[in-house]
Amino acid sequence: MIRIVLADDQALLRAGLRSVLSAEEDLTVVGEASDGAEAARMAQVLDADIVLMDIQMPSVDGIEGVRRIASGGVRAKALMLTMFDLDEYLYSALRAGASGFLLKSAQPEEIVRAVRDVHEGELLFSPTVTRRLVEAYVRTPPPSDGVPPALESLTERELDVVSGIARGLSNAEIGAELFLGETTVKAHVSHILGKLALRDRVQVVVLAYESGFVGRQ
Amino acid sequence: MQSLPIRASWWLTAASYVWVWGVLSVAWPPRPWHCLALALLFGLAAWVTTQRPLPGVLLTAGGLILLGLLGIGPETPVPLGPVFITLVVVGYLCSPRWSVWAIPFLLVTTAVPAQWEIYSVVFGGLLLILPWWFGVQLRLRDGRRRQAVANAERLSRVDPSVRAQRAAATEREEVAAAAFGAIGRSLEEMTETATVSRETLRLEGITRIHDLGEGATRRLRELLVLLRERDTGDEDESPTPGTDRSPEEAGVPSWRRVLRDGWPVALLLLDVVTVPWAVSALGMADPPDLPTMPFLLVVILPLAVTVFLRSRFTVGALLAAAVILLVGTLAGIADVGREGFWLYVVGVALSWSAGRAGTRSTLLAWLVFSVTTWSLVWLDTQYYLWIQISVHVLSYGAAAVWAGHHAVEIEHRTRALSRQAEIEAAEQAAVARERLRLARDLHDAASHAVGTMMMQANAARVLRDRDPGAARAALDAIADIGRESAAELQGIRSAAPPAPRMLAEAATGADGRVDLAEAVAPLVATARRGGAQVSTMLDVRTDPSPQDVALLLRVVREGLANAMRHAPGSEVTLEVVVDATRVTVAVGNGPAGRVPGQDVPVTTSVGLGLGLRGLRELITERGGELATSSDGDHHELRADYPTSSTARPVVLP
Repeated sequence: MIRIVLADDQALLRAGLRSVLSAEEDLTVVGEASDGAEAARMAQVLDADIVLMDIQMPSVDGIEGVRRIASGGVRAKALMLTMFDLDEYLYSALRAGASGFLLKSAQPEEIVRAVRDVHEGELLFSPTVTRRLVEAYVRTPPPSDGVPPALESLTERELDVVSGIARGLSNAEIGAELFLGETTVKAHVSHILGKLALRDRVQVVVLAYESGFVGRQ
Repeated sequence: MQSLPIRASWWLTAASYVWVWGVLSVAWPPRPWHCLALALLFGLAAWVTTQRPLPGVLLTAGGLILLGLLGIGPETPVPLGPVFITLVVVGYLCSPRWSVWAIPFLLVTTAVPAQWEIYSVVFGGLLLILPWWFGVQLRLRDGRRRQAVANAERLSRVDPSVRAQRAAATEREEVAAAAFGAIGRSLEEMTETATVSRETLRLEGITRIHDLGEGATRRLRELLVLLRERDTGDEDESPTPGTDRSPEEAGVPSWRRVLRDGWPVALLLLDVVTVPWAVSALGMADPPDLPTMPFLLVVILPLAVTVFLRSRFTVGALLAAAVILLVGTLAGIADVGREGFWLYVVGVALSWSAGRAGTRSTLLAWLVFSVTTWSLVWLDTQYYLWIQISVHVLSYGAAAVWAGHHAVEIEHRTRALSRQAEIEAAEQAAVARERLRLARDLHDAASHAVGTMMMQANAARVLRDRDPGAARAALDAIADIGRESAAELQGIRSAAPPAPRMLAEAATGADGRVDLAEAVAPLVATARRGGAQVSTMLDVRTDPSPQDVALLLRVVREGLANAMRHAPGSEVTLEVVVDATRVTVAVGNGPAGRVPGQDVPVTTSVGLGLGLRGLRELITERGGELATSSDGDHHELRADYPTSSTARPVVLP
């Protein structure tokens, strides 16, 4: 059972989301919040798996909410709700620790799949979208030759996997490229997340660009 | 036709008098009274010319005829002074089309009575073009200066903030119209479809709502991208005010610069080399002497070089010329003092450059040069001394005036430019701010609404089989939101009040507390405009927080909108009570009254009570209550909720 907290200042939006999610058997909405502080608190108290968080909310906004979740040792993953994929706050949310975003204009099937995917730890949206988003907002130093200090603790194999993730490849695709099995790739990914203290693949993409390991095209 | 200022008139009169008197008394020593009379005559002619050009020219011509009849011929430069002065003044005061005729006129009146030879006539004619041309240039320059001053004046009176406001308002209109066009239609259609599909709960209807929403979202996104692009892309560099030389120098092509530097050299060579050679070659009577080789090499050529370089190395040129003349005279090569036209050319060109530069060092260098020249001339013959002094001083003075005019012009032009830049910057800043605000407004008003409508459509789709009642409620919600946000969009477009949140923000003072009356005023005003007779009763015991006020305004707006819809022109009462723990709002209306311009009271069954849904959710969530009641013709909407400072419990499933 995936436990979900909804955070949006528009009550009707929450109601609609609740209806969509409740229709699924493996999903349950355990709480609703109308600002970031409440969302973080609920996520902790109610031991939520996923928080669907609107970005713009009065008093404490979604970005701050994500920050509190990420820093407070709360295990819930944050999925940002937004109207437009070019939202300038979206990137800040990713950097703050969000695991992906979901358009409010999505169909019910997409919404449900997104929640399940982020729960699994899969990269949520198309590689192009991630890259475009990261490229639009990241202020990278030009790609250095060699390994940036942020990624020093990784082995060479792990660095190859990071490169694959940054390009938006799935585990299977990375495996095909590096001649590894999918399970091996998954193991590498967990090691990487562990070594770099990151929550999920999206954070890996962000770090890869920010550290200059991957340059802009 | 203007006239010169009094001071300038006096100077020119004096110059004319001094010239004539000075030259005549040297050439005509035995007749001092005649000298005086003639000098006075020309002085008077100069004065008249500065005040009334045409009579002045005639007077000067008269004087010239007199000179000619008295037998003062081309060997004396007496006529030159007055003619030059007249031509400069006429060229300055009159339009070039007319003033140019003064040249042949004065030439004729000088040459014919004095019986000049062809050579002198041609040469004199060409020479006389110079002062006329100078006058015309002064005229043009003066015109430009006046324009620059007027321009700067006009711009200094323009209020940048007023212009900025107007620009922002225009931008708002444009963008709001675009937004309205983009999604207004979609919102209407979504609302309609929701209403229609309510009974049947048909799948096509519900999916259509979602599709319409997608279209609207896409168009909104495009609009936002456009707004943001224009916002960041509009970083024009403000025009930098030009420095003293650059506006003039920058556009001058090199060939023109060579011409400007070189024309005295051409004249020089013309006088010394070309003309004598041509005359002797043609075998005319009384040819001037051909120049000797030493003269050419030691004096003329170096002088030509200094003259050519006079703009770039003014001080150097002046000092070098003084040295050359000194050397030439001491070595016996040059006749400094005879009718050497070349000497005048050099004197005028160098003095002009010195006057133009206007610095202390150039002044000193010019004094060195001039005193050297005058001394050499005086040693040779006293006859030409006055002329030399006048020529040098007048050239220097004219150049100083010229440069002064230019400086004023440049100063005013600079001022105008920077003022213009200021105004444009204010406009751009206002427009940019407005765009950002618009982007946010659009985001707030339209996009959230569309998103929520689409999510409710999702809910309707998911629930239509399992829980038709809930699906219907969802469709009702879509219709509500659609109407509300269409109204908000309309509000952005016209001067109608904006969204409640913004109203609350606008009425918030520096201390963070909200002035309730100010916040409610725009809504009340709109209702009154729509024909309702609104009376308000605000009982504010504690200042409400902005969040409380925003919710309050939503209730008021809903109540007023209902009243206007169901009972246009009715009496509406608005009661608000705010204390430390609770906020109570009641909007009541009586039966419909007469509204000018409206035939039938607007009541639709679909419209009844549906706008309350979202409001009820909001209030319930706040831990309050929303109630509607009707009693025959009287309706009331009442809301009651705790203030935001009161703690709210966490909602557990």
